[in-house]
Amino acid sequence: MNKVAVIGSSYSRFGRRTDVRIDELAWESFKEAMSEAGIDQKDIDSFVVSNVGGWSAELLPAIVVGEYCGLSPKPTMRVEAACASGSAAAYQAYSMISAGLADVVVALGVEKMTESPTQLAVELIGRAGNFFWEFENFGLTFPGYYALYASAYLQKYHAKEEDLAKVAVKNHHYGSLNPKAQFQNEVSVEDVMSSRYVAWPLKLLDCSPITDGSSCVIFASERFAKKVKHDPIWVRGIGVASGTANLSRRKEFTGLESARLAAKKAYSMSGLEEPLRKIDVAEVHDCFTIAEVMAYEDLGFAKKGEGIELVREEATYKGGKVPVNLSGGLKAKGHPIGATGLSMITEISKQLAGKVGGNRQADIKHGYGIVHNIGGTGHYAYITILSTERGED
Amino acid sequence: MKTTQHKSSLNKQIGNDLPIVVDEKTGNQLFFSRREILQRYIIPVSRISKFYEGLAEGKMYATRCRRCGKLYFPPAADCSSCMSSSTSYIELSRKAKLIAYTIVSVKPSSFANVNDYIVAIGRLKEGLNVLSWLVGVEPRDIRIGMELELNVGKIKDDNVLTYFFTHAKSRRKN
Repeated sequence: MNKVAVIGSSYSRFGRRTDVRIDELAWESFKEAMSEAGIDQKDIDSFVVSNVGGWSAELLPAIVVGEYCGLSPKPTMRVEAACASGSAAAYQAYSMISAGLADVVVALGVEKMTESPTQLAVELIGRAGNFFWEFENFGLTFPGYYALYASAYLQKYHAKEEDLAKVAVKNHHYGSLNPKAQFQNEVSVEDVMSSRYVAWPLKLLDCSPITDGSSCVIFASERFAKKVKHDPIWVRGIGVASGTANLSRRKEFTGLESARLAAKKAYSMSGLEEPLRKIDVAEVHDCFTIAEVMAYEDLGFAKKGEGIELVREEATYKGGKVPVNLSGGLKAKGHPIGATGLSMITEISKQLAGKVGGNRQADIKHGYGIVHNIGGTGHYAYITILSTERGED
Repeated sequence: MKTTQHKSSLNKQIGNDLPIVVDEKTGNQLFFSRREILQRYIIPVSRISKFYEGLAEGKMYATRCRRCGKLYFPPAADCSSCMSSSTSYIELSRKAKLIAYTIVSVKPSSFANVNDYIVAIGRLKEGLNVLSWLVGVEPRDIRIGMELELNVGKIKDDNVLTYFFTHAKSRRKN
């Protein structure tokens, strides 16, 4: 298989972007990533657009964005893996390049959630599971799905809502340092605890927001990457797995089996003997505070039931055992569903290259970073390992 | 209706001949699409019709593969375990243990007029899980591990039969 590198990456300012249309929003991150890669449209073989849609007007976002970005008539498709759609676009780009079908593939994520009223967005995300059995009759919401897990986790491991609140406190802290984040304000445990319940035991400040945003990562073959970059970031592992549509078909509710399977595959593909000792920085899928705690355990950062200890010990702040979500995470940076995964890959690429800078820059000792991007409630799981090291053939 | 509501936080139309309004907060100009659709799906249930016949008789059915014996809830007409499409129906026991729950306060638009509701996952003694509403229990009395009873009846004002949990000890009156 051919080696695959990241030669350019970017994400737009996240938030309620009523100043731009979907194609204009995609353009923002596309333009920045192209500029970083130092290439133009003629170098691109194919582009993949990740978008979930439903709340936005365009039915064929890949085509609309492709025209606006000057990419027609290149081969394209839209990919959907719920909140992991961005990583699915990366996986598609990786697959094409490693198989020798393309040298340069643009993965472009975009989501325009505020084209519909908030309550309609809540409705549509709530359908992201099994509509027929679990939504039609029982009206589960997206926070509701994760709240089911939170109820089981808190009870089994004697954790408290205050513990979960600390995840939001950390991620808002880093959001406050990220000029592209939707929320740039610090919050306290008391703020989180006094916010209203959305789906018990999760409160408003346990939840990621409804967000507009775009993100773009340009992947290239080794042959091409070496022409434009002397120090690209390398994709060292991608692990993918899925979970049952019906939550009732799950065996347990304290972690995500699909995430554990995807992590195992990604670690194995990276060829690292002790991957956990090599990871300098992580972006994990904190759509809700409980999701970040489960991610620690599913990725092996903590043993089962001990993820909450990492939160209490503040071990996932910069300078801690493993810094997590120094971007602000989905919680504070924002969660434009189809753009999230590629914004996480952008963030880790820039962390590894030392380009984040300031108080959000992790210490890069070994040169490895990990992206944990989950679609739905473990319905899709994508884990990507990136490195400054090319690795052996 | 929805469009009007969405519009109410906005004002200042740009002239009268364009569907464009200016967002007060940001000054951004927003074009209001005039194309409104109502989406309502029609979903086939012929292959699991016995499940619905069961509900009409107050019974809860799961399916069992006639070839390999695997149980399915929600009911499934096909067995992905042994690839057989020969299915029988078994009546479920009504006893379950609560393994996860939530109270939905921020509701989807199509549930907007319903009071806050409790969604629970109960594990039946057959080893199957059922996800449904838990009714007739005060939130403060709910404990993971508590005994539940699975019932068939109408719990919403849509007058449609469905299944739901109650606390095993607090039998519902109707």
